[in-house]
Amino acid sequence: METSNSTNVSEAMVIEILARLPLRSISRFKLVCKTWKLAIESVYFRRLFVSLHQNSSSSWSLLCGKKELINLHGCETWGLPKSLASYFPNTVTGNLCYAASSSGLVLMHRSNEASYVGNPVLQQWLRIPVPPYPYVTIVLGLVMRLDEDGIVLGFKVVKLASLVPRRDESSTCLCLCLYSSETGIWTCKRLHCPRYFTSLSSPMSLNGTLYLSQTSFDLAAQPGALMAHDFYSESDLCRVILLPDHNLNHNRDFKRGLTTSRGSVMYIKTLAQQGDNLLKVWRLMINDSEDESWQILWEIHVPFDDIRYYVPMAMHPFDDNIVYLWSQENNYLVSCNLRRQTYKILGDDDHQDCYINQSICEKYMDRTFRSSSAREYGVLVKLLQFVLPQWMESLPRPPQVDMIDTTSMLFHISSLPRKEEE
Amino acid sequence: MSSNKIVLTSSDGESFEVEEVVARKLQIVGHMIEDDCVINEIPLQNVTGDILSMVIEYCKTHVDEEESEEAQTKLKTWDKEFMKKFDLKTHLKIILAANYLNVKGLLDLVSQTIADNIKDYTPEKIREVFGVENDYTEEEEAEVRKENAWAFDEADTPKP
Repeated sequence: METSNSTNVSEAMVIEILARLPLRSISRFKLVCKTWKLAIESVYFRRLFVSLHQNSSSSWSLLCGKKELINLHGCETWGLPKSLASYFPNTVTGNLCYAASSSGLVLMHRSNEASYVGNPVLQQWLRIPVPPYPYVTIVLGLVMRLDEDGIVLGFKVVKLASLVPRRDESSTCLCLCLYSSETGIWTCKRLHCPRYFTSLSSPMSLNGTLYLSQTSFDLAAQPGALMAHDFYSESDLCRVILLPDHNLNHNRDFKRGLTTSRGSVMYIKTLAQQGDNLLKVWRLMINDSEDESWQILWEIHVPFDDIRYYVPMAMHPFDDNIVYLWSQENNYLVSCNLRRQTYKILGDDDHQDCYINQSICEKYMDRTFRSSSAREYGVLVKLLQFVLPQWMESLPRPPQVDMIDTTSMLFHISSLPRKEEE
Repeated sequence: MSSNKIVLTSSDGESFEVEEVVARKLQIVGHMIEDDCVINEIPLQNVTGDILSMVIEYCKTHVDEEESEEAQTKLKTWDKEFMKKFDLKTHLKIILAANYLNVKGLLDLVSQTIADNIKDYTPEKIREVFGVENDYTEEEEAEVRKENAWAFDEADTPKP
């Protein structure tokens, strides 16, 4: 071996080293030389990186309206020095709302004038045109087409034009507008749902599927089901998935949360039963013939004074042993490790990587608690969960459409006519 | 059988007598033993004595890997301290040796150690350390820098 250094570190060794770095460093080292850039952008490298970082932490946030409620940014995979929300300058969040999020992308919009889909950390955005239809539409969600490695190949923005419940209360029809990143155009779709409801709450998305539910204000309907539709299928039917353990005649002292974790839909319920404090967690299983069923993961007696004052707020996106409960009495967030049965109050000084926007959380939870129908049907918490992806894939975009950076997006928004806050 | 001794000789003629179980941690040696082409002395052409002695020290420590959590934690601490003894230049020599001798655990350890040490470097500093020529034109370099702006524009990026 030569006494001098480095030049004889082979490319294979360089790749072994690079794949163990956080994405931020990898991205910076594309600048070293052309060979390194090519190697980093290869499928081989991406797979090696993902397999080596399976157990690394990734940053995630809970979002609502213009605000970030909670952010955990101990992020080894990306190596981010700051919280996620800090990647949105105030001028962005001052003008735009978080409308949807899925697979590491977020959809931000300002009423009907401007919508953008992008990755805030990579500062890549795609401007979504206004649907060319004469009616008002509201954003329902963002769905994704992924490859076998979980890399986003394309996305669709789903907007609701109208919701038509049938008079005989047997079903509901949804008129939707869809924007596809593959074509760059809007199309219409009519979706038939064999269940009666009159209003929709913000849906949850997982890959190509959107999970809809009626709002808890929807007194016309029994709020015990999810409606699911895969927007990359040919079907025009919504599947109805009944929520488990939903007997209102039996016990109404419960609070509920719907979220996703480790690639599955999760349903969390806290329940006061004969002086006992119960916490239950289910996972939605989908078998080969596309049938859904709920599998109970946890049924645990939790050592709290009175579970009726706790609301399930979130679940760890990468660890389905960890549930976050909001204490309405004490206004703090408790992290519950259900496997170890340990309970920790977050926001104390020893949690430097956890940021909680205290006043926004209090406001949001107060509002949720106060709503009258919540007492009828149990509080249902559904916040937008934004999780950074496992890899820094670039944004899928239609032919002839350019990506813009955050600065250009800001410039565009500022050129729009000013509008009063609602 | 474990008391069998094998002599490993480095490219600069230094010899190390080790137990067969330790030598087998070097998969290159393990394969030779399985192929029955071993007598007692194995010459290793691509590694110098100073580096080989480090590899042997690693293999001796990892010779009986226990499953227990306690033992694993202890080994991890040892790994960390072991790596701290060397500078980046030595780490790069160890990675080559670990690759040549095919010691998977050491390869993982030293790759991660190097990664941890260089993660805040600038591209300029990386070129210097790895002896890589910058083959971008000025325009190309500016373009790549722009595409990856998010990885640069923090005030806390240490200067070289």
